[in-house]
Amino acid sequence: MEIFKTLFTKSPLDLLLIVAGVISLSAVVVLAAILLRKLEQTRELKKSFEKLNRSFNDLDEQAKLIVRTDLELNKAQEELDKRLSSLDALQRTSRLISTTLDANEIFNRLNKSLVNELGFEKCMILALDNEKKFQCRIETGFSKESVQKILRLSEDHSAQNILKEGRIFSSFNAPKQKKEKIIQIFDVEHFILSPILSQDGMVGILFVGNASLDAAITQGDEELLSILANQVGQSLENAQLFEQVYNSRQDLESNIQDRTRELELALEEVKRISKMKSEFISAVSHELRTPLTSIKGYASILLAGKLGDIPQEVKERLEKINKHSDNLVRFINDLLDISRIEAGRVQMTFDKHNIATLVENIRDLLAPQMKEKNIQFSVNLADQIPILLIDGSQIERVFINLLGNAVKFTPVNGSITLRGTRQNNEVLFEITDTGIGIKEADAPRLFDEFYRVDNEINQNVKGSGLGLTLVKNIVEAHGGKIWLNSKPSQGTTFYFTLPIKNT
Amino acid sequence: MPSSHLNLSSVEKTHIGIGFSRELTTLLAAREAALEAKAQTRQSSVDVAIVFCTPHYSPLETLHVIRQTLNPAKIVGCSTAGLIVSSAVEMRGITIIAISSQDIKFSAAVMENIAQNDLRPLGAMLAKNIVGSPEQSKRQSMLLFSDGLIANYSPFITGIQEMLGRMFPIVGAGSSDLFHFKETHQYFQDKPLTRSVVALLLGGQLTVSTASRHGWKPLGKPRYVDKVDNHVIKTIDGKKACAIYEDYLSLDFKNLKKAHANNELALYPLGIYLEHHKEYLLRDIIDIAEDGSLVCRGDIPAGAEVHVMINNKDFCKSSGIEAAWDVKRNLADKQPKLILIFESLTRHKLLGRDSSDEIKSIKEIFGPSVPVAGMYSYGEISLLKSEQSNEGSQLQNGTITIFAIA
Repeated sequence: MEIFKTLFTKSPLDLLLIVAGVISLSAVVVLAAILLRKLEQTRELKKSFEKLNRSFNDLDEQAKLIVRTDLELNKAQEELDKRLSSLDALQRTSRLISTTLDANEIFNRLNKSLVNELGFEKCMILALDNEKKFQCRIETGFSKESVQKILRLSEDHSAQNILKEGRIFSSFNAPKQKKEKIIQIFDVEHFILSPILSQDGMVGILFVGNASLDAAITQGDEELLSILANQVGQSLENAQLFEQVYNSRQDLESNIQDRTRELELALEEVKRISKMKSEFISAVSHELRTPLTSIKGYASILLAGKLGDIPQEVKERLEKINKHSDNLVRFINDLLDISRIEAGRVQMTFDKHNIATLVENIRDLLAPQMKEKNIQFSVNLADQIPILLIDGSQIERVFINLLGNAVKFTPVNGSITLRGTRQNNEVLFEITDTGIGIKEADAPRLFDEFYRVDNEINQNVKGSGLGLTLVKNIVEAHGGKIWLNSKPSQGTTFYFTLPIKNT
Repeated sequence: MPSSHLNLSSVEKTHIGIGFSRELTTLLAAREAALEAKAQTRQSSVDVAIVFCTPHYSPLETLHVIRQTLNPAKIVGCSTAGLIVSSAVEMRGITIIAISSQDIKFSAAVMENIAQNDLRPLGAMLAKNIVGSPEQSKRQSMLLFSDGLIANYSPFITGIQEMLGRMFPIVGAGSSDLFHFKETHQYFQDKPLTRSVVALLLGGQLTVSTASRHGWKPLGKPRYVDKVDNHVIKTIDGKKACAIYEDYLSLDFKNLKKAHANNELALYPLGIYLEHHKEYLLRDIIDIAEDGSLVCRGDIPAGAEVHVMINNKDFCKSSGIEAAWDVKRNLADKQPKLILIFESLTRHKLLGRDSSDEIKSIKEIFGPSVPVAGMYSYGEISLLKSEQSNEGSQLQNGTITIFAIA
């Protein structure tokens, strides 16, 4: 109230000044408040900026961490990639060279693979020849002049010591002097040199290299080449073994062919001689038979007394001539038959024959001899034996021969058995006696011409030694087989088969 | 980088064959590749042979054998550290792409022995020469093979663009060796050249499509280029330029130089931020000067925001697949007759054994019957396109650049 009273007492000018003063004061207060607010905002902005800057810096620090980690990862990845690629290439290369047994092809495949798969700029394989001198087998990345230069330099004594050391080394780990020598010889910056070893020792060296300084060799490369060189050594050894085996086989085949040719020639010669022998026998037999017929004819005339009576002593002599003439005729006939059968000139006359009937006829024929020695003869022919398509007279000769022999070699009171059975598509005949038997050594030659077993009976009884040969030829001419089983003092069994043909 | 679609008429009566050989000798390899390429074209004559050859072979003999075997009207190409053949990657061999066409017209030109600092007029001169050639007809696209050892040929491209137009599609690659940086070759007719740029102009009735990607991602806080001389960065954020790598890799200057010599920096290029672009523009560090400057492959704008970039195999492969899909999309329903791939050698270093997986995936996108060939390069030339506009062809690094002819 006092203030208002005081104001009413003031002049208008004073009042105006007072109002202006109040307003100014208020403005100052407001401005101060705004300023304070702005200052506050600036502080907040500054804080935000600092925060943002800190975030950026943090982000940058994280980025640095990421880059450094990424760099390490990339290096590791690159090395891993290289190793994997190398192993992959090694596997492919190994497969390539192990699938051939030709040394030249191994080198050829290796050359491409070393360059294409393993990625070396230069490669060379120097193989040791018989004089232990290096010969270039493959090379890539070298000019002809360079190859000649390398071969020339490799003959140097110090170079020989290094190259023939027999241990792998590279620009990665070789001593300075050794390294410089190889660089001088091969004109590269980085290299690996590995021996190629086989069981016989060092057979060559495998060299790979890069001419550019940047393409350095790593320990991984060296390990890789070491494995590859071993593989090459093995493959070359396999190729060498194969070549040896192949050559041996070729020699063997050549020898076999030579022997076969010789045997063929010998066989031809045997056939030729055999034919000559058959022809000779045939010719001689024919020549003998004619005068023999005359001798026998004249002897018969004389014996018949057609030329007058003859004294008893002459008659006896003539009967002997007649008898021996008959023996000689039989012998000649057998010889002729054998030679004809062997020469294929005898035409078998196949007819239907009942084997039982045929055997009965022979039993009658041989009955007197069997009776004389009291030999028991039994025949056992199976019912299943069919009518056979055979040359009756020839098969009859077979039975007569075999049974005749059985009678001959079976002692008094012995026994002979003839058995016949069907065995699938053939008939098996067995003629068993209880005779003196045959030694094992004689059995293989029993069917040979003129072969006679040396025993007591044969020494007393004359024979031609052609009977069993003839039997064998007749059986075989029928498509059958003949063999025997015998034990001395226990007896002998002759077996022969005759095929059952469609009658 | 985003793709480009060039709406041109379809290719007719065009026969393309790709021959490859990794025989041991130049004679055998060149002859085998040439005969295979010719056999695939099924034509009696070849208009142009694009040749990529690894350093294992004599370039002079290679070109001589190709001339004898194919006798093509034009031979262009370059040496490379590695080859892309169908769905495989080969680090040794010769690839020959033989083209015989009644629809496509080819003109070739070369700028030899580039020595001067200002490359822009030389680019313009090359363009002038090629445009003035008698075969020139309705130009559609240009393939460029330059010496990858030339540090910065961005101005050369600018020179070409001054003649042919800024938006004219130029696609190509820098010849490479196996990170040796010693000598690379460019092939023009029967001559292997060094420090040269070879151009092949494609005109007539064809459709082309191109796209490129790299997949690298930025790391850390942004930094700004203070002082730059074209492709040489002097300082970044007030410090000598190499400090950025010393800092990130925790290496002193001497060891940083050593890391660079071992190609360890190749996987961490600088990335330049570009507004409205999906990816950063990469610059490989090709040298570190004694004063700490970073020598890059390609121009760097002053004041550019840069990052150290990082990539991994998955991002890398995905970027290749994205580029392939872009090319395919741009071709719409047209079946490509040839796919050419120019891929940074850095990507091969990063992908290692997975390199062929990336190529297989790309091949699958285009189909088994489409011929694919390419090379690993030091720098790629491809269209730089933002989400809003086409900025024309530029020298890029770290990319896979796919070029299709349909």
